[in-house]
Amino acid sequence: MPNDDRTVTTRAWAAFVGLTPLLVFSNGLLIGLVLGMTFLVVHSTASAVALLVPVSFGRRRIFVFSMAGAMIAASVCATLIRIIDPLLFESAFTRIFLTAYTVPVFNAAVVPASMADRERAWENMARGLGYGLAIVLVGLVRELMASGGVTMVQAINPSVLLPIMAQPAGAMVLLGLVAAGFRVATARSVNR
Amino acid sequence: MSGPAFDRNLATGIVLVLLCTTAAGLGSRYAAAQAAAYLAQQSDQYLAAPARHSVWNTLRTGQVIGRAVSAKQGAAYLISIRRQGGEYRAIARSDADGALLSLVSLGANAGFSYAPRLDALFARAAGVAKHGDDSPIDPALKPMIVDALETITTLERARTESANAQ
Repeated sequence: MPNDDRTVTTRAWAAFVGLTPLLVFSNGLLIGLVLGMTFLVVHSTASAVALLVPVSFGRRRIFVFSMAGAMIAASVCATLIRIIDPLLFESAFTRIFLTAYTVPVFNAAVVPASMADRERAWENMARGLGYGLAIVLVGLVRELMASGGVTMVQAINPSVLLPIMAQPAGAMVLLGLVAAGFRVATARSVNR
Repeated sequence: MSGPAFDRNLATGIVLVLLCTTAAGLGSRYAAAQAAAYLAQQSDQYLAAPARHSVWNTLRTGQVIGRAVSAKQGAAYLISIRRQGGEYRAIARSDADGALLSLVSLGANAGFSYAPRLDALFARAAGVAKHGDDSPIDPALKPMIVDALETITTLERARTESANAQ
């Protein structure tokens, strides 16, 4: 019988890897907030639609309806961001629509197989919140390391500390460090 | 022989999705109009006096996001130079032939190390650069500046030609 803890950890890592495009794009606090908020809304919509649509539709149709809901949610988020800050929208709109095409959203759009799983589906919301926060945190840490500070506005002469952290390579370095830290922490807890 | 039974729930679901898509489309259209008004106002504000009262067109061609056209003072183009790790924005005012008249830098993301060099190269293109201000990374950045300026020239010539034809 498979080890439950290992299955949970593997699934969590698989979802984290599925989020990599968003984590790579999230190279600042502002863009992190935009992507994190959009991801939360899209993920929640996908999981809510999967639960609300009658089971009689069948799994395939429920998936299609959930993904349609997720894309409409992404569009609504993009509309709001465009109204709030058109320049931010112009630099982020391709990434905003990417949120609907990530593995965690696909997973959320699949209808739970059993009744017990359906009753635990609220966990999807918590999961979405966790992933959204991870995207924001990655943006915050990368901006902090890249520029030595955090700002919400563009500057004529922006401060630069470790520019590689604002680039995709920086996201990989950060994710590698997080994975290593997670592994060390897991090994310690097992040894105890 | 009877065909497949009409599924009322499914039809309701499809209609709901279509309604939501239409509402999202209308919302997006409203946002585009609001954004156009805001961007025209921002362009006018950055280019300062005399008052321009521009009309905004979103283009998204190459590195040009769009242009603010004023009836009396010509067109100004919003440029966004993207490289890994950030984005540099500027507003370029051009003459009817598409030649660069002046450029206002709007800044770049925090941690974007190419911003000072892009600023210097655009200043050089606008004819206001300091002598001897060179960097080893300039050859890597110059093609983007040339591309942005050529795009502006092409777009502005097309605009003036169509305006003259009318």
